[in-house]
Parts: sequence; C-alpha cells; structure tokens
Amino acid sequence: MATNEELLAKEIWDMFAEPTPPKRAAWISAVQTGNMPGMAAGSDAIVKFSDFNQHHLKKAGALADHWIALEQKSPGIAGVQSVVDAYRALEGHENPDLLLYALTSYVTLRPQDGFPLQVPSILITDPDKIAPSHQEDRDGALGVAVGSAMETKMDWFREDPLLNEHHAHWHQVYRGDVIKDRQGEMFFYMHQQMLARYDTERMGQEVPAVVPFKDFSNAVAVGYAAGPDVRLSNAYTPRAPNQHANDDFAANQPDILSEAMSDIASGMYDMNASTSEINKRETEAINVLGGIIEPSAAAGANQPSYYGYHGGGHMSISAINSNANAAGVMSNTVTAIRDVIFWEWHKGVDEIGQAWQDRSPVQDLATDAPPVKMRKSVDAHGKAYSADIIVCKSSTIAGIDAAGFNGDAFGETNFGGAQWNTDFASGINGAVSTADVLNTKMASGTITVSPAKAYTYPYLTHDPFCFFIRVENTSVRTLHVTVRIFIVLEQYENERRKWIELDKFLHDLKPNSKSVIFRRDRQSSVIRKPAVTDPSTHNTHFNPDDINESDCTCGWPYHLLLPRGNKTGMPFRLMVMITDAAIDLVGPEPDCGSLSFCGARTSDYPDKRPLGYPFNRKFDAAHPISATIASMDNMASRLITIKEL
Amino acid sequence: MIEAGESYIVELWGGYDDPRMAQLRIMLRNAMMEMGLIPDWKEYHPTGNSAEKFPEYFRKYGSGEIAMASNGIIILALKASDAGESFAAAEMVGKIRETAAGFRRMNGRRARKSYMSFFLALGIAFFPKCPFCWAAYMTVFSAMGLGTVSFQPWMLPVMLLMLGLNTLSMYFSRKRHGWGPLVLSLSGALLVILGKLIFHAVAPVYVGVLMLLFASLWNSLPTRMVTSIRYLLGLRIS
Repeated sequence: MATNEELLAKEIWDMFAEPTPPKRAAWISAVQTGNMPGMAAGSDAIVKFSDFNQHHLKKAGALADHWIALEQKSPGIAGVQSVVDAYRALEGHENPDLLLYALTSYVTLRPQDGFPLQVPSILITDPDKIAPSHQEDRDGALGVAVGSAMETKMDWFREDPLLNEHHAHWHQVYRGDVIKDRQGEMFFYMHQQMLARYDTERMGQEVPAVVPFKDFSNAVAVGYAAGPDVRLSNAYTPRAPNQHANDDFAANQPDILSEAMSDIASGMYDMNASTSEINKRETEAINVLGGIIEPSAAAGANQPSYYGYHGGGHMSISAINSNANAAGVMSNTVTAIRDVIFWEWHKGVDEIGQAWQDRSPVQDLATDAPPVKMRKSVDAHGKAYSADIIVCKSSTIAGIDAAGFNGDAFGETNFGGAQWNTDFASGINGAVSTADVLNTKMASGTITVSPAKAYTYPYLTHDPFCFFIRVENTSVRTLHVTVRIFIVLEQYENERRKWIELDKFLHDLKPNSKSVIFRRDRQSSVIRKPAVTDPSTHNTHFNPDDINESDCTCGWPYHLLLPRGNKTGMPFRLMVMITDAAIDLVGPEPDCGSLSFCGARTSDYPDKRPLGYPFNRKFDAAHPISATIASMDNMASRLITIKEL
Repeated sequence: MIEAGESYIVELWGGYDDPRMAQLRIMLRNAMMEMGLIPDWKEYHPTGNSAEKFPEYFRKYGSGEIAMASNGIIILALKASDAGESFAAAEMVGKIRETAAGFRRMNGRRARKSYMSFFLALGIAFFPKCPFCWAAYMTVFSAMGLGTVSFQPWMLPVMLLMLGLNTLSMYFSRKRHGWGPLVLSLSGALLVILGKLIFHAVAPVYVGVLMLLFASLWNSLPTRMVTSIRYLLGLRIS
C-alpha cells in the first residue's frame, strides 16, 4: 500500500513524464493567436525557452525559488501539494519548457526534509530531445549535414542520453542565478573535464582533437541537424554548414574576447595577495572570472563587456537558421552537447580559463606534500611504473558485492603484510587476479519517443574495476589524506589539461604504517550516486524504493567513467596522488561523495585545493608532468590499456 | 625476498630525459628484480622546481651529470662527458647489482653506525665533569644502592677524546643529514670545553651537552623521520 507521500512523489514524477511536444505546440499556437487565458495580448510570453537566456533563466529561477518557499511554509505533504497545485495552475499560461525547467530546479534545489522527490530519467522526461540524430534522415529530409562524416563517429558520445542529462542537471545544480560555492571555478573545470574526455574519446575513434571556434567573423563550418523527432517536436531548428551567426553578440564577439584576454593579461583577475591562504587566493580569483564568463552569481557586481560571453555564444549560434518558434540545439542545456559546435565553442571558452591559469606561478607540489611514499620505477620498456597501483576487475574479487565486504582488509591480506614486497603487475597471483587491461564495450538501449516510435541507441559500458593502492605513512602521526586519481591518454601525459579526474576521496593512514587502500569504480567522486549501471532502464519507472534523499543525482554518468579506448587497446597513464587532508579539507565529505563536479549540496566545496589539482596550473616546461611524478614520493603512476571488446 | 619492514632508499640524480638515465632505470629495475626486490627509487632532476629540496649529497652534481645514491651514500656518478662508448654500462650493472645485494645487509651495519654518535653523546652527557658532579652522581648511585668511586684526573682527557670521537662520527655521516648535526655538535663540544676549562661555569657546559645530545639524536634518526619532523614543524609554523 503506497503512502500519501509516495503517491504525491509519483504525481510529480508523472508530471515530468507527461509528453511535452503537444504542450509546446499548444503553447506556440496560443501565443501566435493571442489566445492565452490570463495573459494579456502582447505581454512578455516566452515562445522559445532557453536556459542560456538570462531573462528566461531568471524567470524560471524565480518560479522555482517561489515554489521552494511555498513548500517551506507548510513542510511535508501539504507544502509539496501546494507546489503541485501551483504548477498545475500555471499550465497553459506559461511556456511548458520553462515550467518543466522550474519544476526540475525546485526538485533539485529544495532542502532535504525527509520527503524525497525524484525527476525521472531523461529517457522519460525528454525522449523527444535525445532521439538519435543519425537515424532516418541524417542528410535527408531537410538536406542538412549532421556535422560531417568524421564527426558522426562521435555521435555515440555527444548524443548519449545520460551525458546530456548530466550537462543539463549540472546547470540546474549550479543554476546561474543561485549563489553556490566556487560556481565560477566549477564552470570552467567541469566543462574542461568534458573537453578532456571528448578529445580522448576522439583519439580512440581516430578523429582529430577539437579545434576551438573563437572568431564569429568566421562561418560556423560544421552543420548540425538533430534527429527528426527532435526537430519535429517544435523545439529545435537545424543548422546548415558554413553559416554565419549574425546577431549583436556575433558582431562584437572578436572584440569582447580580445578585451577579456587583455584584462587577464593585464592582471585584472590575478590572485588577491591580501588573502592569506594560497588556495583561497587562487579559487576566489578564478571564481570571479568564471562567474563573469558563464555568467553566474559568482561574478558579483562585475559586469565587463564580456559578462555572459559563454551564454551569449550559445544563443548566437542557436539563432542561426532559427525561426519564430524554435532555435538550434545550442539554446538548451539538455541538448547543446549534441552539436559538434558545442565542443568547439567551449574549447574557445576554455582557453579563457587556461589563459588565467597560465598566469599563475608554476605548480609547486613539494611544499606541502605529506610524508607518504608510493614506490616507483619503470617497466620493462623503461616507462614509469609503480607496483603500488594495483588494478583488478571487480568480477575477480570474490565477495566484492556482498554486504560487509571489507576492501581494505581484503587488500591488506592479498597485497599488504607479507605481500607488501610482491609486484602484482598483472595476472593471477594467489587468490587474486590483477589486470593491466580494462575492457569496454558498446551496448544498446531504447528510447521510446511515443508508443508507436522507439529508437535504439548505443552506449558505452565497461567491466567494473577497482584499485588497491599501497601507501606507506613515513611519519609518526596518523595522516588524514586525500587520494586523487587521474587518467590520461599516454600520448597526452605532459598536457595538463588532458588529464581526466577519476576519483577523489579521503583515507586515514596509521603512523609509520604500510596500508592498502581499496576503491571501486562505482564509488568514484566523479560519478552520480548510486552508480547507474544500466542507463537504458534506470529510473524509467517510478519506484519509491529507488528514491533516497542522500543520493547524488549530480555527477558524470558511471557508464562513461572509463574512456572507450579502441579495438586494439590504447595505453593510458593512471596517476595517484596523496595530499594532506589537514590542508585540503574544508569540512566533512558529503555523504554521497559525488563532489568532483557537484560539490556538497548544502555546504562549501569540501576540497580547499583548486579544482583539478594538481593540474590546475602549468608545470615547469623544463620539468614536465612525467618528471614531476617521478620526483615526488606522494605521486605514482603506471600504464593501463583500455581495450574495446 | 627481503623481509617486510626492511628498508632501503635509492635515489637518482640526472636529467629526466637523459638517454643514460633511461638506460640506468632499466638496469636498476632489472638488478633489483633479480635480487627479489620491488624496484623503487626516487629521482631528482636538475631542472626540477624544488632545487632547495635536493639532498645535500646531490648538490655538487650539475646538469648533464648522473649520480645514484643508496641510503644517502653516492654509489655511482657519471660526468656529462661520460656518454656514448665511454658510458660503461657493464660496470654500472655490476655496481647496481652489488648495491642491490647490499640492501639486505645494510640495515644492521647502518643502525650501528647511525646510533654510535648518539651513545657517545649520552656518555659525554653523563660523564663526570668535576669532583662535585661526581659527588652528585655518587649520591644518586648510593641512593640506588651502588658503591662509590672517586673522581679521577684522567677523566678529563677521556672526555675530550669522546668529544673528538663524537664530532668525527658526525663528520663521517654528514652525507645523511648535511652539515647541521656536525656544526651543532662542534658548537656543543666547544661550549663544554670553554665552560669547563676556561670559564669554569656550569651553564655553558649543560647547554653544550644538550646541543651534543640533540645533534646526536638528529644524526641517528632515519632520513625520512627527519623529513617527517620537518614537515610537521613546517605545518605548525604555517
């Protein structure tokens, strides 16, 4: 028997599940005919909702905030019911996409109060926006190219439903008009990590790295047409190749970019020397710049000509070939990353953050490195190798999924103690099989746009894996440490902005001890929690048992945690760095732990270090990343091959 | 296989991309594996941004030079000109194997060497420096039930000899912790001698003895423990 709370939670879940295209069509028709009950003709009716449009965002944000306040007046069922009633009252009187955005924002940002609500999977909320582009009429009905033949090799990544969901949800969690700790810095970092992953995946598919698009006096060379259902849902228009953006932003873009770069070069955003703490100096400075560029509340009162540069670019590009009712996919966070130009535009935006970072002093990792040691040498080919980074496929660890499985104890038994001086490079060692190759494979799911129309789509999966990291505490005190794990395509190992964060977590090391730290892929701080192992079915049906307030619905999709690699196997460098949590930590680690891209729900970002540390600053050109790792006791790396089956 | 708990520290100095370093790494790896050890070393590169943190024993080497140290003792060095055919790979392999084999034996011998100066300093600290001191000791010893021995004039040269031995021990192990312990020990010895023979004052003698003890303790601690203490102090200060 469902409780009243569950019934109400289901009602909200169902509100998200109601098909939007008919509502959208009805809304457009009502606006065009002026037949909008409760709204005066000619009033400010939003036809094409875009969360990159600051006016639209403020309106939707105000509505979400109003609903949150409404619930707080009578917390519990009555409060939530009043929000449902308020939403229903606005249907037909407000843009349905704006209403859904506001409702999502309300569910995302409302305080945890013991009454959990859930937004369904994007497969349910927006099937019309995520239908694959490559089926039926890639170059067909509207005669528009989908990127290029080469770019279609990356459709699986750009059009991955849960990746699109992640991008949209991240922009909800870090809503531009809401003040959230280190939002501006996170804006740069999360998108930089998306680009690092995208470029890595491109290498795997033999597609060259993304070339930034940063001059609107040039045409947008690449075209993009979303799939037929996306277009026909009255939401998006296609863009033919070699089109010019021609709005005010496009006309001024080269100048305002130049002004931004000039301000950075002149030191306008340099670290504030009056702030005593070095990490704070750095994070506060980049936070303001990120806030200005996105834009977000992190900008404070700063509104130079390049305020909103990023959002302006989205709007300008989406306006190409737009019509009265719809614009390109770049106009919406749910669909923007489908378009090839998204990545090109963002790489240009990313260069602004990089220009700021490159003005910082060279990274000095030695000063506050904790007294720990991971062993380092080379492999048979002379490439950097650490016997203390041990990788296993989870399937080879007996009992790993059992409740109460103690990974640290398992590691201690098999890799510590008497086994401390044994190298477990790969192969079967006693009871445990270790790996130097991790496998990925493509699976397929189904997107049901309507009862009569369904599509299959490809998505990446990987064999679950785990790490055993051996660390010696060489000090006479207990060390509370932060373990940071990154991966990079071997060929990129000295390019700091290509390193991909895999995990970041806390661990205690006893005095003068040799410890084995266990960590599973599904515990990663990068991914949403709990890990969605089957993206095609997760959260596609309402189940009150699946709703948990402590879940982290914000985070990178688990199934994309590991890069795809290729059929022959691609060499990646895996790096582990141990830092002192006594220096790093702001407060307790959030319960769900998806902090890398999402921080903590109600408190400050838990890690004081700049996001992406240690790759947040340039390294000494004469002492690159690989040399730095070789010279630091608290860093170690090894190669691992990722092979697609 | 070495026993758990045994420790050895191998360090390399040289250009990260120096082809000889690449060769050296593989040789070192193979030699250590042959000896049943997990290959492990720390590298210092002349171009690194932490020059001030280079161990003292590497500071005399420059760009283009390569050196290898085992537990703070230089065991191999190549000049910039030692390249190509003059790069005696076979000789290096021999040295590396010899060194790797020595890791197991090193601990006992090394511990004796490390702690010798500390025990010497302890001896000096409690060595009777005057008839009154002797009387004081004897009072304590008597209280503990021990017999009495009178102060002898030969004790002064013996104390000076022990001071000399202690200082010499610091000199020989200067590569581990640098010149700090030696300078501290010399200063302490000077204070003891000045206080005892020139000023006939007690305070400088005790300060000197404390300095000797501290220098000896410093010298006898494992390098990594000193690094750890420095780190902790640094944290406190910051």
